[in-house]
Amino acid sequence: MRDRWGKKAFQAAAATTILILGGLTLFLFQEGLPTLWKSPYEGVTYAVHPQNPLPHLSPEAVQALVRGETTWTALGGPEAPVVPVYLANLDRYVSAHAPAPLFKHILDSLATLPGVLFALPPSLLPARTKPIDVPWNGWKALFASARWSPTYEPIPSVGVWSLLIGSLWVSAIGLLVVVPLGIAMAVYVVEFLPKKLYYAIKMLWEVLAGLPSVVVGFWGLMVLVPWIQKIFHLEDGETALTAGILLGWMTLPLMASLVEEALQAIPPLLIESSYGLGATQWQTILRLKLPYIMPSIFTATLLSAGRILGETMVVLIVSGNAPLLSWSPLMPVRTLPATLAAELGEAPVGSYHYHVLFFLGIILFLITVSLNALAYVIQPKTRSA
Amino acid sequence: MWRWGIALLLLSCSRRELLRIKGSDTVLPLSQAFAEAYMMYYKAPLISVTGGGSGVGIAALLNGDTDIAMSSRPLKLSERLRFQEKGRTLIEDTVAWDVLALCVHPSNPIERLTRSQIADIYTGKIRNWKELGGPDLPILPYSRESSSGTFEFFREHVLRGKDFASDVRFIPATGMMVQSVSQTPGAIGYIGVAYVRPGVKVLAVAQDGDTAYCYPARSRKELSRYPIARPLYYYYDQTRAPALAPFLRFIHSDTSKALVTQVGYIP
Repeated sequence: MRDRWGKKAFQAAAATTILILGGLTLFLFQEGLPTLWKSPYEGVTYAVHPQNPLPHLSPEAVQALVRGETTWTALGGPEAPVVPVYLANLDRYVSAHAPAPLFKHILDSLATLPGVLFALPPSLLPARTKPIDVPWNGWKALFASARWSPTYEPIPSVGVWSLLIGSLWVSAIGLLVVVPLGIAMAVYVVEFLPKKLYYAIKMLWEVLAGLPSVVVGFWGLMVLVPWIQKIFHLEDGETALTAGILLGWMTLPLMASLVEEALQAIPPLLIESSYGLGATQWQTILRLKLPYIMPSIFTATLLSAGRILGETMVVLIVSGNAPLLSWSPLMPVRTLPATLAAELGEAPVGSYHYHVLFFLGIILFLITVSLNALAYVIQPKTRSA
Repeated sequence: MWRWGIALLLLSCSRRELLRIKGSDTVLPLSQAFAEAYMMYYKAPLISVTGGGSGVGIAALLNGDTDIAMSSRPLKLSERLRFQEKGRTLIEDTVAWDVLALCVHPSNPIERLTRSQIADIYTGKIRNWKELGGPDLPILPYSRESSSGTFEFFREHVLRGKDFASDVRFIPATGMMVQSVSQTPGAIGYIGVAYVRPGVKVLAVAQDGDTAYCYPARSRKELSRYPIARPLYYYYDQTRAPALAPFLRFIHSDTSKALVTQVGYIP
């Protein structure tokens, strides 16, 4: 009887977990995928002066015109200065408190400028203008650009490459720190540490693992950032390297305990045989123990990678957060989770910015899932070898 | 234990009297000071103050989830249109002025900049302090994150709608901005004047043209001369005005003016 209830309880727990996980995944995709077909300027019509000969404009051209990086002449348009008029900058021309007739009058007179570029809801658009097509391509915006400026008006830049590369840098450096150090620490604890100190060290690990990441991040900003700055003679110590080192250090307890558990679980018979054959302690460690636990080391590495990839607070504080295409670990980076944390708070629900942030979530999710899948595929092979 | 129980009970009884204020993190410390003083003097309604950002507060006001929206920027036209669609009239109340200080590392000999020079730094046109008469040192511009009202104000009024260069470092909180600037020789950052600490050097700023350079204003009189100042607003629905009147009268009283100065803004 009790067994049956136990089974039922487990079934219920499993079903709930699957439902919740499935629901979360579904939600993630439901909110993120619209990025691919939704345009950031829905409900806004682009219009130019009737004599402007251009039939259509690319979103990049609109951005360049507004930013002042190109001129109408360069695009084959009229020889006139660009006058962009969009919702966010309207009060440069007219007070939002202006009475309706004045408001309309000012918009009408703006429409007479040959270089004007309107991006307004159709209800506000002056009559004597020529609508112009600005075709939006979601894939292109996400993957053909490296610029991340998701709240720029009238058209945001949402290239994900700088964020992806930022995440890759930080994870790679973090793993370079945590994998050798984690293995070394575990081997030391199992092989050389006096039994009396064992529990003290274990406790220290647990304390380290329990440190709130915001504390680690702030410590990094106060101490590690100036060090990095001094050691490498940089103008600024907030770099991918700083974040990577801190993350590696934070993940150390996880990595070390996983490796340690694996080391403890090696059948004593094997170890004794090794010693019996005359192998020294070092030979046993290098030739028997480490190769034997290779699959566990691999799993531990992947788990650490997942932890590092998803860590938010530390990178937010010490990585500089500049959305650059970094080619060196000594440059500031902006990672995927840091971007989510910094921006999701004020992205209005349902806006393009909101969907893009969820799309970043999908990318992060896919990376993690494929890492786990990789672990699953490779693990049995190494074990049989 | 029983004391907590009674407090909870009181809280649930007086829920109708709860006055909710929500929005900009810049206005947050000010609203907290107002709320504490008001509750202490009048023991009347409970006031809950939450941050989240200007946009969040205004969205909450639209949905009826707050009584007052705090905002560090004027209502956007798109937001105004949305309120108009619902047939609601908002009242705008300027509660204080926030002055943004441009600060650099103390070792930097630069003393002053014009608005357009600042814009050129943040858009990436000027990349070395040498170009401004300083030492041969790359400029490292720091900015607040795009979720803050300070960011939007800075982009609209200092950069005049131009975009930040991609090597600008984004800092999630003002305190960290001060920390970063104080330990980076080539840095420049903008912070609310309330957050200026020793360890960073504040610059004098001039509007373009022939206007005089001016250090961040400390009083209403100096405001017109310093180019990077912004009003902080409370927005509320016209229909709620009578209910809110006592609190609003309080925040414009002399007591509150002292509070505003204490928090670091200009009344």
